[in-house]
Amino acid sequence: MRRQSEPGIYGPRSVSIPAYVLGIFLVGCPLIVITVFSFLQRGDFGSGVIYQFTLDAYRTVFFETNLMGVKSFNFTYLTIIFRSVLLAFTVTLICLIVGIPTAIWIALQKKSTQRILIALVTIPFWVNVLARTYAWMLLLAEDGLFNQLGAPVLLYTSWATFIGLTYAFLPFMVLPIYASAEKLDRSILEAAFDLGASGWRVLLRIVIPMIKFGIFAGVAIVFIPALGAYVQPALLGGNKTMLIGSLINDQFGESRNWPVGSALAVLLLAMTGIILLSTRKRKLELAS
Amino acid sequence: MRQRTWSVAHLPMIRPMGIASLIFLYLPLLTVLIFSFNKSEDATVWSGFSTRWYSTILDNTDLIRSAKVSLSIAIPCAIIAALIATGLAIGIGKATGKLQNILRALVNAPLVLPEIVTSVGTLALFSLVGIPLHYSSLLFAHVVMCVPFAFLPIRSRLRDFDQNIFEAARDLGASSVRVMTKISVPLLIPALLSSGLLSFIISMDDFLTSLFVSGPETTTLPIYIFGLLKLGATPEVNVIAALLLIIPTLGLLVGIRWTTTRRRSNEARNK
Repeated sequence: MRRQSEPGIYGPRSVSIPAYVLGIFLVGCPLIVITVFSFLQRGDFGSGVIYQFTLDAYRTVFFETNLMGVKSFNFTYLTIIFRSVLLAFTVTLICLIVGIPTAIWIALQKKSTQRILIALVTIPFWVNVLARTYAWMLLLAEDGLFNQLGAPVLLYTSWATFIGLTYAFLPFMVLPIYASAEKLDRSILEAAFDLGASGWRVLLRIVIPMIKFGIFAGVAIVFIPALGAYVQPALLGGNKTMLIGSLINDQFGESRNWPVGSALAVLLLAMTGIILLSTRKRKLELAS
Repeated sequence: MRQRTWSVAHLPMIRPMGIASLIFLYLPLLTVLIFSFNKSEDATVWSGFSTRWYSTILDNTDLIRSAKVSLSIAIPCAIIAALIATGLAIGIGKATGKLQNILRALVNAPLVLPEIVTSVGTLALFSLVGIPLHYSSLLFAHVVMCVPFAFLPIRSRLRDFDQNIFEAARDLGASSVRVMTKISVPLLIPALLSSGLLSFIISMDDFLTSLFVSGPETTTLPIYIFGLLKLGATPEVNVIAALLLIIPTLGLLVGIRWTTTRRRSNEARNK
C-alpha cells in the first residue's frame, strides 16, 4: 500500500530537490558556520577568524578579566541582552493588549467589512519598513508634528524605538489572532449573554480561550523579530542604547570581531528556539 | 422575542481598541503622504501645497541607480523563488516522513528566525567558502528568504482543490510527471502569480540581508535609503517614503481587485 503513494500525488517527488538544496546549503550551513565561528579565535587583522578552538568569544560575552587577572561577570553584554529581552517583551505585551481586541472586533463584523478591515491591517505590512520607520521620525522629531502640538521630543530615545517596534509588529499580532477568531461561533457568545454573563466574563472566559492558538502564534512572530530588531533601534533610537541586533551588526562591522558576533547570534538563536518550543508545546497540550 | 439583541458592543473595549489601532496604523502613513506635498524646505513644518520635491527625485542619480539594482535582483528573485516553491509544494505533497519534515523545516526557517542571525550566517558562509559578495550571491540570499513566503499561496491552492482529481489521474494510469504537467502546474498558475508578487515585494523591501551580503556595486534601494534616513528628515526623503507607500499599496489594491473579480466570475460560472 505504501509503495503506491510513493510518487507523491501532485507530481514527482524529485521536483522538491532544488528547495532542499537551498535549505541545506543556504539555511542549514550558515547556522552551522556561525556556531562553529563562535568557538574560533578572532582573525589577526580584525576580519574573519583563525581556525583554533577557543571559548574566548563566550568568555568575552559573559565575563571580564581585570588587570589583576581576577574574573568577574561582564555586565555590559548581559545588560544589552537583558534590555533587548525586556524591550521585546514590552512590545509583545502592548501588541497583545491592542491586537487581541482589534482582531476580535474585525472577526465579528460582516464578511465584506472583514475583508476590507483585514486589507487595511495588511497594507502597512507591505509598505517598506524603512518608510514606516521614517513616518515615526517625522512625527517624533524636534519640530515634528507631535512636538508642534506640544508633546516632548521622543526621537532618538528608547521610547521612539518602542513605538516604532510596536507599530511594525502590530499587524503580525492581529493577523494570526484574527485567523482563529474568525472561526468563533457567534451563537455561543449570544447564548452566554442571554444567560446573563457580563461582557468581560464572555471575553475572558469564552472568547480568549477559543482564540488561544492565534495568540500563541502572534506572540512568537512578534517577540522573535522584536528581539533581533535592527532598523528601528538604529533610526528611531539613534543607536544610543545598544540592543542585541545592533551589537551583532557592530561585531560583524566596525568592531570586526566575528567570533563574538557569532556567539551573540548563537545566543539569539537559542532564545528563538526556546520561544518556538514553548509556544509549540502549548499547542500540543491544547490539541491533546 | 429576545430581550437583548446581541452585538459586538457588548464585549468591553473591543470597538474602541479596534478603531484606535486603525488610527495608530494609518496616522503615520497619512502624515508622510501629506508632507511629501509640502512646499517648505523644512521637512516637518507645513507651509503649503507643492509637488516640487517630486520632480527633484528624478534628478537623484544615486536613487535611480540603487532602484535599478533592487529591481534587477527582485525580478529574477521572484521568478526563481516562485519556481522553487512550486517544486517544493508539488514534490512534498502530503508526505510526513521524518526526513521530509526536517528538510521542510529548514527551507521554512527564514520565516521564524531573526533576520540578523540568517544574514550574518550567510555572510560568514560566503566568506568561509570564498564566494565574492556580488550580484548572484545577493540574489540567492534573497531567494532563500522568499521561498518560504512563496510556498504559502501555492500550497494552499493545491490543498483547496478536489484531491480526487489527482488520485483519479493516477488511477487511470497517468505518470507522476504527467500529473504535474497536465494538472498541478496549470491549476497553480494564479497562485504562481501571487507568490511571485509576494517574493518581489519581500526582495524589494529587504534591508538587513542586503546590508550584510551586498558588495559595493550592489547597493540596493533600501540600503541607499537607510543611509539617507540616518541623516534625519528632509523634504526629499518625505517624497521617497511616500512613493514607497503609494507604489506597493496601489499594487496590492489592484491585486485584491483582480482576485475578487476573478472569484466572483468563477462563482457566477459555477452557478
